[in-house]
Amino acid sequence: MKNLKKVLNYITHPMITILLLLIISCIIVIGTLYEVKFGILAAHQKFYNSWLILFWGFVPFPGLRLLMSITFVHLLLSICQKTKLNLRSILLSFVHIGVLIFVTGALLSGYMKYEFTLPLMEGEISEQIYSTNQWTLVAFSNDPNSNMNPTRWSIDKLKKEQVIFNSHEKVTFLNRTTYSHENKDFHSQTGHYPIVYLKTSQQNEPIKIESMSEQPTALQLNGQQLYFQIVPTEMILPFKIQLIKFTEEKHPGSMIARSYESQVRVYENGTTRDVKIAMNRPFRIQGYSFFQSGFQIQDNKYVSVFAVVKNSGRLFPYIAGLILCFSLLFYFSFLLFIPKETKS
Amino acid sequence: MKLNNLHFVCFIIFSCIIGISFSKSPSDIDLDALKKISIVDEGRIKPFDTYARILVKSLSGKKKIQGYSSIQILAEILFTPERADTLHLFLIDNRDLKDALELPWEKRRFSYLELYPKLTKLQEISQQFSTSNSEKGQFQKAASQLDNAINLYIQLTSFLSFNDQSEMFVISDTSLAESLGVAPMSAASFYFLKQNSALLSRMMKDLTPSQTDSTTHFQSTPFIELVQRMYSFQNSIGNPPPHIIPFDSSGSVKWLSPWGLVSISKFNASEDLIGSLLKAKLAYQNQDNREFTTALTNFNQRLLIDAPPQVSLKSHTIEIIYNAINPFSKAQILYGIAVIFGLILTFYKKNVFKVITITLLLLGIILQTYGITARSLITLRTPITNLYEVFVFVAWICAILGIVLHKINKDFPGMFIGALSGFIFLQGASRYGVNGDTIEVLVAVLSSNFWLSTHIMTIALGYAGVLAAGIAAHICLIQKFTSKKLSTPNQSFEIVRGLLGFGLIFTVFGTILGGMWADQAWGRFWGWDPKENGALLVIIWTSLTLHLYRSKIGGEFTFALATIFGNLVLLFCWLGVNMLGVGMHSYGFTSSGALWLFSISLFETLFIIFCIVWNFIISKKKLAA
Repeated sequence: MKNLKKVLNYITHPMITILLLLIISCIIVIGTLYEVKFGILAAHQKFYNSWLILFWGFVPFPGLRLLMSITFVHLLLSICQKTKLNLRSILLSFVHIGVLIFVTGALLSGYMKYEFTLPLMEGEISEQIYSTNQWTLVAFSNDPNSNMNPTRWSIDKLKKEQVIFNSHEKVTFLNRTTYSHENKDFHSQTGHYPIVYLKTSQQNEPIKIESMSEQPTALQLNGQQLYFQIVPTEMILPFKIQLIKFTEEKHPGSMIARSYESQVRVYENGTTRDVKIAMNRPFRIQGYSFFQSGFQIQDNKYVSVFAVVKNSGRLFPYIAGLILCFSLLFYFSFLLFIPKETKS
Repeated sequence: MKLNNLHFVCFIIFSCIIGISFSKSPSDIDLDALKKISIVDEGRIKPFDTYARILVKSLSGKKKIQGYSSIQILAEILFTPERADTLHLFLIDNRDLKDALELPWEKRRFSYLELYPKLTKLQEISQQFSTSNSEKGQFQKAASQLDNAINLYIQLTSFLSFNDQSEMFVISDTSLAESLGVAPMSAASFYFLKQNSALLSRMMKDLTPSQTDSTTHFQSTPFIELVQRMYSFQNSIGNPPPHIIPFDSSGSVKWLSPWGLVSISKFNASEDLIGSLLKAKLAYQNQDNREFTTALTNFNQRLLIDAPPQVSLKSHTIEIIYNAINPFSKAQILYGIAVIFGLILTFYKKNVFKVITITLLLLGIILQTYGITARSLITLRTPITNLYEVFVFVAWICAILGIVLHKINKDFPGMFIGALSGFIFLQGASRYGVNGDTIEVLVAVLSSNFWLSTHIMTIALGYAGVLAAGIAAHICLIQKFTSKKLSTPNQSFEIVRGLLGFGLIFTVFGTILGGMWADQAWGRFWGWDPKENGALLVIIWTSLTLHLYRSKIGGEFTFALATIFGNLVLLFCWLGVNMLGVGMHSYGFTSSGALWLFSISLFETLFIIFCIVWNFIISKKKLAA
């Protein structure tokens, strides 16, 4: 018991708090600078959503997920061990509970949040949305006489040496890695994207398929030309959406957008309704949230681009925020207004 | 001197400062009516007064040139361009550019007349670099800026030149001259021909088939050549600045310049507007004050009647008064003087210095309050939407905190901290206001008054608290190393801790509100965007500093150093991230203020190093003793 108490004292020592805060700060600084060159997606993959970082390919360092997990344990044990039965201590504990819920939400968000995009041209109806971080390998044929339907595999689920085409000529999945793709027009699209390496029974050399490549990779298999391409994973919505009209308003005499909004029609369970989606005015339906992300002009028509998010952990930061804000307010009010004798 | 008299003297000085703002440069013409004309520039409807100040500042780097105020210079450019050509308006600081244009090094500002012979060379240089894909260096930027400035100047001097007789429109056709009532071979103005466009159209219709063919190629006659020149001239002019006339164009509003209005086919209904402007020009040239004011007042009144219903034209009185008073510059001066007296007060505890310091600080706060309120009324939104406004707000909060600190503990130099913070951050604000109008339009993503008021205001409050704590920590360390005790040491560090706590609460509030806003706008509470990372780093560092204090790790010295380092963290996270140029918060990207940020960072770094070394020496001495 004494030893357990000793261990607990070490784990909950304030020096651990300070060290953790310092290391997390360093990771955030390095990650931010990494974003400038390699893009926010790459920084997410390497620093913020990772358990382990390998600097220069071989120097290990805890990733932010690992640090947040350690912070979670440290905070929880500190709250349990150090909370005393007085108002000040309880208020301080609530502050840390708020932080704890934030950390929990941050750890779980990677598993509870799914992000997609939905580009729609004026007049177009769609029920398909495209993932922003999950990829599918697709094989298809352009030959109208071919009876082959497009075949899809989720890249994350492919295993090494898995045979994906088992016919006269086999196609084997070898490996998946990433490459750095830079988009100078949209820096948010700069990042590390997947590459898949395949092998056919005819060719020994691995065939490389890049995700951001404009052209699919052609392979001659079983006497027919097949194309392989990596595309964002598609998902089918339980309803349809049609873009009726996109409106952009500019500030007078300038090219600065004052506002832009999309008038959409939602087809759901045999009913239809018209909805406006604009900046700061999202549309929520059946657990999906649609946000006005941007727009493009294609063939003299507007294409409205929506960000679609499904996040079952959406309320975590709101709950944590409320607890943290109120407890901070009460705690510092207590320090400020309660006489010292009462405090002690 | 009695205190009441001292207050009275301070009030008189303050009134003089404000009064000087409304003094006018000697001139026969009253330009108040010109100041009130609305112009659309950078997406905002603003008064000519604001436009003139920005224009002259951007061209010359100063607000006054050769004794002329900004509005006087604009009036000269618009109505008497031949006089404006002699004003030393164009600032050229780049020596390579001066060499390339064969201009003297020692001179900084040049007139249009001096630059006119170099225009061809300047255009060659600009065009050469406009086609290149590589990033522009200082020389290229300077050439490009000067070229753009001169082009704008030429467009403005052509404000009403459609009424000038031109060799391009010589009426050599005798029947036409007779119909128009002018002598043959006389030069007409474009405006004169447009006024008679009905007659010209009739004459075109009366042309016999042998004189024309069905294609666009007409057989050449003086009349047809004149019409062709008129047509191609009209097409080439477009709609150059200044855009002062709102025009309903098929349901949408387009802002036209007088040239743009004259160029469109159906402008007859707007002849009153053009007529008023031409009368104003004539009156200005004749120095007829009454006629000038009447003409421009008629122009403004006519606009109010003719403007499309979607456009609401304001009188701009608030903005014109705000421009005249220039509250933030004056507040900065008052804070600067308060710093000096605050410093004197630290060493000589005389009531007179205390009264002067507090009066100056209060006057500065009053001016800033006025300025912030005026900007809110001008824009009809929260006055914290760009870096300039955030700096001004932070300066204001820090100044108020200085008064509060003084009330809490009269021995602690709260007023000195308030005045110093106010001065420093208003100086920082001025770095972000050099490039143009500080009242900017909102981009679409910021179009939410609720979130602007809550998120940005709370974040600014938080940052003000953290920065004030950092400055107070300097005082604590100076107190520690000198024999001068400004207050009891424990109280000083308690004050720093209190300010830090204040800063932490509001930074946390503001960051959480920002996350909620991001959830509403972008679909995610947190995206590890550089700006978000910056706010989180400020929270982490402030929490770390408070943990250091509470757990007594490293003592008060470490706590003070960490608080000062927190200033560095905050400035880099707040301003430095804007210079990275990446992320969703793209509306804040700028490289302005880099030098200011570097200077402050250098000072803080040197101070920290000095304190560490000094503390080490003192500790060694104590050990030896």
